Amino acid sequence: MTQSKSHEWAKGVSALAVVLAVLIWLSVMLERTGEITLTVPVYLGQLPPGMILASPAPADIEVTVSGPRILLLLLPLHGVACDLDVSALGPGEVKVAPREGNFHLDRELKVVRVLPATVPLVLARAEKK
Amino acid sequence: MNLFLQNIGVLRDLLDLSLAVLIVTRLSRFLKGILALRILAVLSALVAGHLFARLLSLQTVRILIDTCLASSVMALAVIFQTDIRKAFATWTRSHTEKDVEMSDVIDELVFAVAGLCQKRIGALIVIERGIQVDSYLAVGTDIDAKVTSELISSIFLPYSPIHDGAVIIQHGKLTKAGCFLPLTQNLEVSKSLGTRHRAAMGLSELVDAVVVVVSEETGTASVVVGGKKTDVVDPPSLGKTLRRLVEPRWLK
Repeated sequence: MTQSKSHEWAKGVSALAVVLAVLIWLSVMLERTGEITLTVPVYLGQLPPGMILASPAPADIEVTVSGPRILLLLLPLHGVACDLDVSALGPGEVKVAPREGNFHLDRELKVVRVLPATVPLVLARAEKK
Repeated sequence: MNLFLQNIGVLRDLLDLSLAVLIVTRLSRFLKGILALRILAVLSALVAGHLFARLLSLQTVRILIDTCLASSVMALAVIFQTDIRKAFATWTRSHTEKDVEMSDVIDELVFAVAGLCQKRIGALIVIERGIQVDSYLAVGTDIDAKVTSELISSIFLPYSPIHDGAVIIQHGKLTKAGCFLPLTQNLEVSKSLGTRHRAAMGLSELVDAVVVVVSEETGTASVVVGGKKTDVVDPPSLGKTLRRLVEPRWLK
């Protein structure tokens, strides 16, 4: 191997070593815990039989999620939504508090805050014809 | 002060990244040539794959890549156990010992030249400095050996097949022998000088190398630098001249 070729190899090795170091650093940095706040729509699950929603459809809510930054990076693209289970509710005005399970997030992600903390709903019996 | 405190996180990250780059590049120097490129490329691909799998939450792929990454440390240790042992052995050497090694090259050269002068055996020895001499050399045999007086003397013995030419010393190693050098085109050079001296002058006019010439006619040694010939009277003065002209960094 000539001198100039060995210099070229050395340059290539150094460049790859820098790339590897940056990748290792990135993988460590992206494992750090971070937070992200998203505005998500609220969907109601199956309504109890013979009940209708008497109030307007619930507005979007703000949810703050914490967890490894690498998982938070693509979270806005995942289409996070709050699916509320109202199948066990009775008629009248109720306030449902969204829980972590309602957002269907990765197990490593935690819901830190939800604003507003409760979603007001009014359910009424459907009139029979 | 406030600005410093505000940016301390960024500074810490930059320091972290710089140190990571330093550590990985230093470690990669233990590996040589295409093997180093392959290993670094594979490791980079594995780490990039880990990031990709994590980003897209591909659990199975992530487990597979993480297993490969974890076992690669052990695999590298097994593959390079000899090199790792050598590296630790080199670490324990002090700088003083390295300087002694540099001095050894000059001593071996001086000893060889003194012997060749005494026996009136012609010799041509090129010591590369800052500028590479490879592109000015014709023919030659690759050697890549430690510089020893015995080796130099045996190369220039008249019955040696590579005695007719120059030996080249690069980075403290005898890399080539039997090399033909370009002859000087200077018309003012004395006609009494033979081809060996003309070759020494010719090369030294083109590069900054130091060339030691032993005349088989007179049994004297001379040092040629920048096309100028300086006769040396005895081995100690040759050693002194070479130590002045050749810095340890050119012998590393």
